Amino acid sequence: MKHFDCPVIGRRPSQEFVCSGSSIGILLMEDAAAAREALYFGDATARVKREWWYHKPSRLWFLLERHTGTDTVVSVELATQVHPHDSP
Amino acid sequence: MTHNFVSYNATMSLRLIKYALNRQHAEPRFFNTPDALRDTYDVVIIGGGGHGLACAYHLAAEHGIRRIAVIEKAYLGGGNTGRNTTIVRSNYLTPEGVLFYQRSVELFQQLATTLDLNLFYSTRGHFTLAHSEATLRTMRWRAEVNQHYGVDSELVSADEVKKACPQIDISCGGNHPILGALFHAPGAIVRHDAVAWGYARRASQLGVEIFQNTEVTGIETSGGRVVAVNTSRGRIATGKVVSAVAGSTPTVLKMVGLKSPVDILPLQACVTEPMKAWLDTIIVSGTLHVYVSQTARGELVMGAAVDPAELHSTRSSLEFVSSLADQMLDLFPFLAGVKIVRQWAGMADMTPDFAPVMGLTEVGGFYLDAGWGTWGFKATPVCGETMAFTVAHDTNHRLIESFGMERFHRLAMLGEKGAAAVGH
Ligand SMILES: Cc1cc2nc3c(=O)[nH]c(=O)nc-3n(C[C@H](O)[C@H](O)[C@H](O)COP(=O)(O)OP(=O)(O)OC[C@H]3O[C@@H](n4cnc5c(N)ncnc54)[C@H](O)[C@@H]3O)c2cc1C
Repeated sequence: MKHFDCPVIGRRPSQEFVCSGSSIGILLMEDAAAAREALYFGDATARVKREWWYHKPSRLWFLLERHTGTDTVVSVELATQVHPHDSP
Repeated sequence: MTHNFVSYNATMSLRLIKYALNRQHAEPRFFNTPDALRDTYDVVIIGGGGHGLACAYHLAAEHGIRRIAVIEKAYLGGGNTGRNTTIVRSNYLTPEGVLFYQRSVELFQQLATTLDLNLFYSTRGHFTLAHSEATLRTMRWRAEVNQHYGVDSELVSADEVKKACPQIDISCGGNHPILGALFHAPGAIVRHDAVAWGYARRASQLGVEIFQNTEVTGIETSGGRVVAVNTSRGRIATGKVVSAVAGSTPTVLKMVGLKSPVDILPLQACVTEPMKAWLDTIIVSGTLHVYVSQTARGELVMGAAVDPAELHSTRSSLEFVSSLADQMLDLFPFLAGVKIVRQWAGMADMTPDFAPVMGLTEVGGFYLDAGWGTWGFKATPVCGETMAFTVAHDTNHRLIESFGMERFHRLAMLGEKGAAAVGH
């Protein structure tokens, strides 16, 4: 079973989270054309990707850096910019 | 009886010994692989899955193009073609989708004859269950669109579901009772390996050369056009390249400098031990994220939606089987003692709107057949037909005109999610 080691909440099973990809950051972008590019045309090969994960029980958001080829989590950071009630 | 059985076996093994010793095998191989790649081909197809092989067959059979190489990095049909749960249907949501998949079902229904091979095509009827008023509404809409285009599709009551499948618990353990279903009589299952091998054999008979264990490592372009393909076994000069690589689409797009509207997510499936035949329809529940059919061997083939996050891997997980079993038992409590014997995954090439990305691209001579996610096996024949036309005429076939990659720039999405997310 997969777990994430997080600040504040510690080690939690992955099923407690919802992955929201990178799109939350994109939605905050000002330029519509640039946002569209970022949303639909990216590098989708195996790589280290920064993505938003929502922890359902604590209603906290985390920013993960995860390798999409190996599923290894490189870093986990508490997202402080997002309101805790903005559930996906 | 016993005696007959033994002597039958003895005859069989003698035949097998004779077969092994004989150099002139009576049973010809499905296809022969030439020793070496040629320096040049008219068309190079990357990917020896169903889509690539079907395209090769149609190019050779209908467009008279015979100097074709199909390059497969591993073994034939070993990608998503050999990993899928083989549901064939055409009850999609958008007019573009319905027309396209309807053509594919037509081609599938005659494919055993076309390929001269028993594909075990089995029409079962396909129920998509509704557990809420909202789902019923989408289904009514789907049925309307389907009927408008002549697809056999209708809304049925919970009683009719129970009649067709008496083993189902209509109340779903009291949690999310079944209110009705979308019924699609032509829904079918078919042997996936046979489809790939059948296309390979017919293509090869027409002169197509198939190379397994050969990886495309790069694509050379000049002045915005494809000029050559580099492989693990050498360089091939060619003006036309078809990419039919499903889970490797972003990697191949990068070779020609294109960004990818496709993300890769694992899609998992599993089978139970074989049991007496009891389920002759295909049952899908979007709400419970499960679907099931029973094979001719008696195994239940089961699957769900894609994994929650991007991943380029065919690993399978305990999370998947445990949550699938949990939901399946809501529908069929009597399966509690049945064992799951095998599970696996494929890499699904997902698009934002659950419709494919096909046809011409910004790079001259580079044709894309991708974005098949969790739903592309049923499209194998129509993809072969339409991609071959597109490559031969350098013009998108009319059935794929709205599937181009540029739709994402225009935000001209096709909105097929309601018909493709779980019921592949
Ligand atoms: C578990 C699961 C269940 C599914 N269920 C259904 C279903 O019920 N109904 C349905 O319609 N669809 C279903 N699908 C989707 C369907 O399987 C695929 O969309 C379809 O099979 C894609 O076929 P393809 O020929 O395009 O790709 P593939 O069969 O994946 O073939 C692509 C080939 O390209 C090769 N390749 C990749 N990169 C290179 C390279 N660089 N050089 C050379 N070769 C390369 C790969 O090795 C592979 O063999 C399911 C998928 C999965 C994973």
